[in-house]
Amino acid sequence: MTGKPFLIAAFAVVAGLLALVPQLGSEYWLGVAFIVAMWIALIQSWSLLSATTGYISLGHAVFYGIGAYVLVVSLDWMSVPYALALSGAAAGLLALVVGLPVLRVKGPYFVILTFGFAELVKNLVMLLETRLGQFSRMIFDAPSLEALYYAMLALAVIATALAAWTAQSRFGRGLAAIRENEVAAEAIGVPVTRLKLFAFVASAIIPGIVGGLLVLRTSYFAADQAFDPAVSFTIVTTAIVGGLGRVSGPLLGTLFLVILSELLWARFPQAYMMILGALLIVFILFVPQGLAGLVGRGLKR
Amino acid sequence: MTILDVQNVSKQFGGLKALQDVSFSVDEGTIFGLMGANGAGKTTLFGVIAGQIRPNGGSISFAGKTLAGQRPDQICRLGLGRTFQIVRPFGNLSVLDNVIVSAMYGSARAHRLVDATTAGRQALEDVGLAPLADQLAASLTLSNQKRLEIARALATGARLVLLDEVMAGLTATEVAEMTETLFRLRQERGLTILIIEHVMGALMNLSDRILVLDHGVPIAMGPPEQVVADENVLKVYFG
Repeated sequence: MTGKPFLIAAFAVVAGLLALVPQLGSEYWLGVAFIVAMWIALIQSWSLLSATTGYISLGHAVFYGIGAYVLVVSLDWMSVPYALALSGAAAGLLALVVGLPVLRVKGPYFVILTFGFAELVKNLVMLLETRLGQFSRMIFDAPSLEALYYAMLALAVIATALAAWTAQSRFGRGLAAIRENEVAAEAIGVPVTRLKLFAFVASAIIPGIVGGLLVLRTSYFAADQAFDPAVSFTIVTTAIVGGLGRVSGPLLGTLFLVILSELLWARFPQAYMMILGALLIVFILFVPQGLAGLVGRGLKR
Repeated sequence: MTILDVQNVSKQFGGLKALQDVSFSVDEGTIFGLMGANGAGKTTLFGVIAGQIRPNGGSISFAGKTLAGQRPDQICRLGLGRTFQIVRPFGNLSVLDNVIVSAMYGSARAHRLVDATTAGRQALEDVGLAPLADQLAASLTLSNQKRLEIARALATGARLVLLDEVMAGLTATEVAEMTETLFRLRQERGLTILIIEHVMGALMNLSDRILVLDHGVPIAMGPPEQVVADENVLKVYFG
């Protein structure tokens, strides 16, 4: 616990530096920083459910996708801030509705179910769009990249703060008990179903808003891209590479991912999934604590 | 005063009648023993009382409130704690964190960390685990994991605890220590204990009253000396 003030200071410095990026005046670096903030927000949110309870969601793209879809549709009726709020609310509502049945199964079944559910929603939205005669949607006069970046950064900070708060709260301890042994957790008074559902909804809201922000950034919505399962795979891989169960994990994982993508994937985009798969194997087998675990061990020495 | 009242409880698993028409009541501040061979339905009865298993018939009330249809976590928050015969530690948490989460969520409702830590340390002290508070629960020996089961049930703030074979695997000295601990908890906290035990001597020593089950059927009930002399019990145990 002695490292706590140090960690908070480190997070504050990182957030402060990221807030200064628009001052560089470089569209390129602003774009990179936007992506960094996006993955941090997504992975911290995912961790809220999956890293704490061990219920690994392989379908988080569904919340991101539904957020994007709701934004692009609702923008006809309302201004951007309201549309973004609606994106988050829609994702949270979706998690609430599917959470009860989906959270009844554990382990590999939960993983497969979340993946299948995300694919189902993707195809439903694609079908709906085709019926409506919409193959893609464009957004005109979206806010500036700078404004979108600040919003994304705020989400990343909120998601990180939420993860840090959860780790030491009563709520987080209940989730840890659920991860360790659900029957025993229930026997000592933990309202297991309610807590899991709450974590699931909490982990869905920010990704919903993130999806909305990203579609504003690209000014373009197509269902197969918005619900791309590669987003789900990237979240899980980056979280594991960064290290589960530590607030710094998603930050280190994202840093690693973005550096790697700037170095490699820009040149070999077709190798994306291959490299992701290889990383996942290497880290699960050889570095199960992730980068955060490595750094933690390094600091202790 | 009756704290637990079990009336005509039955449970069937497919064709197997695990419990048939079981009735008994436990007075507050007493130790009530459950006896019977393997498969007699003792652990099933615990599951039914604590809410993990839904009975097919009968009614159970605890401190005047019916437990019908209540979830295990709700029953725990009413003040009823249990241990598991096959231990279920939160293995990757420290021993102290195991009992802290109990105190936070159980009937103790010690939501703040300081209060939960105090309650948790007290429970560890009670079962003799205080020196191991910072170890990972998974690293404990089996007998210490059984102690942790009791500590976790105590830390919830329970008025009644169901102890499922917490002495199995303990040495004779440890059994004597545990017996003393349970007597002390009853004395100091006014704790009521419902206990399943295969260590016969210990059960005789501890219990104010004993219920004997045979294939789910209650065959004798009363003070220990009366139960061991019971014709039906002798028949079941010694043929």
